[in-house]
Amino acid sequence: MRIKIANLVMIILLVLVFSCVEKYWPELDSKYEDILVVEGMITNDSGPYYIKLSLATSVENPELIALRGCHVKILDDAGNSENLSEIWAGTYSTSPTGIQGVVGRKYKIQILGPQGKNYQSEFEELKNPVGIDSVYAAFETRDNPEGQHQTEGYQFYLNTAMAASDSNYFMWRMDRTYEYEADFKIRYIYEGALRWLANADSLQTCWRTDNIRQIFTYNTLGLSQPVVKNYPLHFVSTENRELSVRYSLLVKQLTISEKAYTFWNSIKEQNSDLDNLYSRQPYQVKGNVSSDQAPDETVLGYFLVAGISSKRIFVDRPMPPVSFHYEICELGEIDFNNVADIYHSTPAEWPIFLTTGNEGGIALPSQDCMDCRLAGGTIEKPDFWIDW
Amino acid sequence: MTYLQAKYSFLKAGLLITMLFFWLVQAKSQSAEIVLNKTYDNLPWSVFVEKAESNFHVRFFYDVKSFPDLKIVVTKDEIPLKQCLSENLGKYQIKVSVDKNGNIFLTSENEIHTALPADFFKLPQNIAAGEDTLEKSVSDEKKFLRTANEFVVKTFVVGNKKEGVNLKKATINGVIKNAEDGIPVIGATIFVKELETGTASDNNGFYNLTLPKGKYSLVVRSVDTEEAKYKVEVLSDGNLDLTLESKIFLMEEVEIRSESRHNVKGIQMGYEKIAIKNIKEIPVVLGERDIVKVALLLPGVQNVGEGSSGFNVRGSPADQNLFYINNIPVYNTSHLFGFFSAFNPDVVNDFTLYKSNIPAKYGGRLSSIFELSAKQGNAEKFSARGGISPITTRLLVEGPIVKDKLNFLVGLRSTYSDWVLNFVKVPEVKNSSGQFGDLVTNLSYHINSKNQLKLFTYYSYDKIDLASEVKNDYGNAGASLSWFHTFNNRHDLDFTLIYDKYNFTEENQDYALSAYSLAYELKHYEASLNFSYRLNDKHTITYGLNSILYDLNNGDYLPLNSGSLVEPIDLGTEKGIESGLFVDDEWKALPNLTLYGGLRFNNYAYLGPKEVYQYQPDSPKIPETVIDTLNFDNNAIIKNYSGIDYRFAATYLINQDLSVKASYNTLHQYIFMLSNTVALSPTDKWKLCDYNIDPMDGSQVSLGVYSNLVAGLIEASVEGYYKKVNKLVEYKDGADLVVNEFPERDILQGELDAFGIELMLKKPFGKWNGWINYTYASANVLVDNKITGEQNNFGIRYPANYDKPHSINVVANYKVMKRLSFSGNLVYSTGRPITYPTSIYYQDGQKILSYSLRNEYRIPDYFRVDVSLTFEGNLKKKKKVHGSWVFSVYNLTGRNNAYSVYFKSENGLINGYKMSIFGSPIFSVTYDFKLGNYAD
Repeated sequence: MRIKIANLVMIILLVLVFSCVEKYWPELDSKYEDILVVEGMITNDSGPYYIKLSLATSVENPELIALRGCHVKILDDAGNSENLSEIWAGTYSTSPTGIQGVVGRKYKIQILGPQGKNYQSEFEELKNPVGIDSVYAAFETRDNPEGQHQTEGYQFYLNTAMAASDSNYFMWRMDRTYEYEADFKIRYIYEGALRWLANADSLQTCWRTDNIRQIFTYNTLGLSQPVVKNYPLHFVSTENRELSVRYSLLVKQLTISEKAYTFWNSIKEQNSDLDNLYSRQPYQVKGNVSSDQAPDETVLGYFLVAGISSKRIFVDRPMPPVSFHYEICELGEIDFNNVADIYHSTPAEWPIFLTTGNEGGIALPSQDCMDCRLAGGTIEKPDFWIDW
Repeated sequence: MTYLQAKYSFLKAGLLITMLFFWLVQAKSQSAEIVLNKTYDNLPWSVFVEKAESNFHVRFFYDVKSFPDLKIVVTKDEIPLKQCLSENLGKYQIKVSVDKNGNIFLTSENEIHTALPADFFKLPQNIAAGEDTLEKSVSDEKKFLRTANEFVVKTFVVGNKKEGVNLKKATINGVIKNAEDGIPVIGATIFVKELETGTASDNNGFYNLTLPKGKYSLVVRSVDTEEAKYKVEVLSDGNLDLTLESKIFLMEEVEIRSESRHNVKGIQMGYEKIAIKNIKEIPVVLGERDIVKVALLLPGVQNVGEGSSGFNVRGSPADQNLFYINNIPVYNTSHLFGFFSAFNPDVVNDFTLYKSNIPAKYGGRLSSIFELSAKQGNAEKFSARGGISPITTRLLVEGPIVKDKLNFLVGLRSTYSDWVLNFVKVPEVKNSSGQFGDLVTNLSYHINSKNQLKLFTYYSYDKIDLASEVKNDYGNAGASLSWFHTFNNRHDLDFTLIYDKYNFTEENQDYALSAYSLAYELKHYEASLNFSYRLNDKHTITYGLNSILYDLNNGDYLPLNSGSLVEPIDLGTEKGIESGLFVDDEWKALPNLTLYGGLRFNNYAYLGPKEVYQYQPDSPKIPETVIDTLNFDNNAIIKNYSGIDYRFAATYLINQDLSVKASYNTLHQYIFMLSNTVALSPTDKWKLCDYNIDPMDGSQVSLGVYSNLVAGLIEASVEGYYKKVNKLVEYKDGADLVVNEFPERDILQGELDAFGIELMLKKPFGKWNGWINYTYASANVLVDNKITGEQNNFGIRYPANYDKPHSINVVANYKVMKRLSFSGNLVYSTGRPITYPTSIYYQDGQKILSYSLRNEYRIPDYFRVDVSLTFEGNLKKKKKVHGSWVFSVYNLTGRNNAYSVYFKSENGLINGYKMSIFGSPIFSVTYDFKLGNYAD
């Protein structure tokens, strides 16, 4: 909340006094690179549970450097424990029949690093998950400072069920899935020879799933009842194809400890875009894992212990007069003239898809106008998908 | 280790500079005979006089106004003074006569009159009292010299022989007034040539001098008046009112004329006094002349960034300064987030800054006292002035209600800045507004020569609306009623009642679910009683006491509307009484040694009604360590703190133009600001020390060398200091201070260490005037509580947000012609410290920034040049309205000084950006007007 005020102040100061912003990169010490990063969680959902270990990198050239060859162990306060196995580089997994998260128990992680250093977290309790009462979407219009038009789209809101205890710390994670279509059907396919394709719409409809890369946290401390109402989650606009057919949002509500909340809330506030003189000072956020040998060593990331509940919601393409602003493929003269290019192609480029124009002529538009997979989706309909 | 290195280079730099300094001083010639050498050649007349008077036992008497503008030509070395003068002045028909006492009379070779016109010199009112009043009898002796048509010198006789027969010494006192409007002149200095001692007039224009009986020459000076010379014969105790004439800039006159001797001889250190008249030409941003912001051009004063509020004096946080405007403390000194100061420049007469040796009558803040003194109001005639700038309009009206008895002043300023915002296309800005204003009134009642009453009020407000999502209103409202009384010529008192209120409200609907409103109010009630007692000519003792009742309402945190789920929280009230009892003595122990000693006993009681938590001793203050809840009734003492402040200072004169000064101060502070942002924001609350939060205490030791160079034309000083603050209030990382029922749980008390060296070269007057200063400073904070194990920054010392090791300020004013003046300044400083993101890691597929240690890096250095031109209207003496235009350019070079450096995630990459607030030259025009002529 404070951050946004600060941003407003900044915008006004900016404009009031002819300020300017230019690219700038300070010289930074490299001593903060190659720090151990822990990521993973155990919940009351059934396993397997994954722990990812990596190394922090420089701000200029971010990449995920997986940390291989560690020994990772999850323990609970009832004496159960399991050694995780590295299933691919830097990702360690419990077995599906191994340790399971149980509400009320406490869990911790132990890591033996490649240089023989020991790391572990403190025990944290798996909280009783607070239920989600409802998730709903409201069609909203936003001012858009840069564009010519206002931004329209669905804003998702959430209501939690009444919690049993007074102070609850929440974090929400979301997966979105959307159905979308390529603009043209595939009529011909070229793989050294041009063939007519009978199953014309086989690559036209796709579903794409990914997680929402935004942090949502809230707590019920300052509220009269331990319930969160009309909490704004993700906003999805008509600026791209996400709402072009049908859209689904899976909301995972994590009931977490105060410490975990503090970690994620700090991350949320620090990762907001503008840093200025009216926002709180940034600071180093250490996670809940520390080194046994060197307690002052910085270890980043958090091993989360969370009670989880989830809810899925679907929304359809909004009805007119809502306008969409994504680009659509159109056939031009050049697309018809380009067809001969297929005979100069190499086998590495095959198969090449072609379509036909309204008058029946063969056309070679950009491949993603016909193959929806090129926009990141798959043609397999997800199991949870419910058509309208 | 970097800390130690810094300290080492600081010492080295200090040594080098001190050596250089002494070399400069030694270079000055010290001739004893009245024989001039070539160094006097080609000096402007006024400089020549200054130099001759300071080097030889001579005194010049001449008509300043009609004296020709000339340069002295010294034809050969070792020329006798009189011969040289005759050679130079002969062509102007000016006759030179020198008497045995070294008085040099320069008269026009016309007829010499022996009497003044009856009305020429305003005689003190109490002359009429005649011989039957005991303590006042002033009569004129018929010893007038007169040139063409002007006064040169006359002798006043104070007291009478009969009364003084058994006395060796006598005390004279009176009021120094402006000859035109009768307004008492504050801070005027009286210098007794024969004794080389002097005094200064106080806040009410009163002065007091104890002298051996005899004849003296007094030189009376003040910042914005002509210098006056008086011959006085002191026979016994008596009253003598002195008048000074305002400067009329008809000749190419000096503009800044401060107490040139004061710099070297006075007891004060780390002291700056600036009159608004003298900074008239200093360039300003957006056309708003801002006297308080000029403080940033002085050594040892910093802020976080341009356009931010608060000052950091010698490495202290902004809440360790105490701002007074005519005894009213001002708890928020800025308009519009700090872009402008909350003081109308027309109303302010001058400001004084104490940054090292703080007199014992002040207490309650660790770092500095900013004392603004408002104009008194014209006692003689009605007058008005005002101005228009791109942002505000100003108006000041003053005049007598009963002439010479009762006079008033009203000063008003208001913005109309919203129109600027309407030009902006960004909807968030277009829908925003920022308005501010301030009002000052003063009523002075001169009951009689022994009693004076003053009623002063101050009001300021800001109304800020950010895109209708956040509304901030804040304001100060205060009043002071002062009674000044003189018991006798040695003893007087100043009794003041003060009320002040600072409040703000915030309405925030950034997020509908938690839309809230919040109100805060601080009330300050104070009574202060100060006595001043001149024991003899060696001791001046001031003593007194003051008591402040703080009444704070932290306000209710309320849901703003029915859609908000905010649970109302009453953040409670707080009460405390801070009292101080002080005594100090300024003692001229030896002719060349002045000592100052002060003691201040502070007592602070935190009062009920209140419910306070008691935490386990020696453990962090968290909910789990609460062991008891204590309930206190109204006005019950919850906790009492007391402490003694020691204030010591010494000035040792090596010679008339060179002195060494030292001071040691300890102080206590019982109120602080809850703020963990880099710059102060308008929702930062003042908070009292309480059951769980200890008062801060600080100490500072300073050592300095002061000198007047080139016959007093240049003042030079080097001052070093070391300062320590204990129990400094800092905050746990990420603490939310806006709505916080238990601030003690988010506060960590640490320590602050600051040291620095300040070099100042100042040319206070002349056609060219201004100053150059360089400061090396360091301020760092350590929060590492060994007992509770609580730390900030993992227990590592870190630079304070405003720590800027190197800074250079240059201010130059040049009077091109009578009606045209040029002014420029140059500012350089090291960039402020910043915490940078140093690495990236992933959680849940998201890139997360990890930050360095606190303030480990610095933003780029700051550099700026500003210029301005001031055109005065015509200089006719008889005119109704005088106008002037100020054209100024801020940031002439258009350098993109970094205000902030931040990082943004764009298309999966992190990009760094540098933001500049004033990223291009900013041109502005201001029109000022006043009734009357230029000099009125």
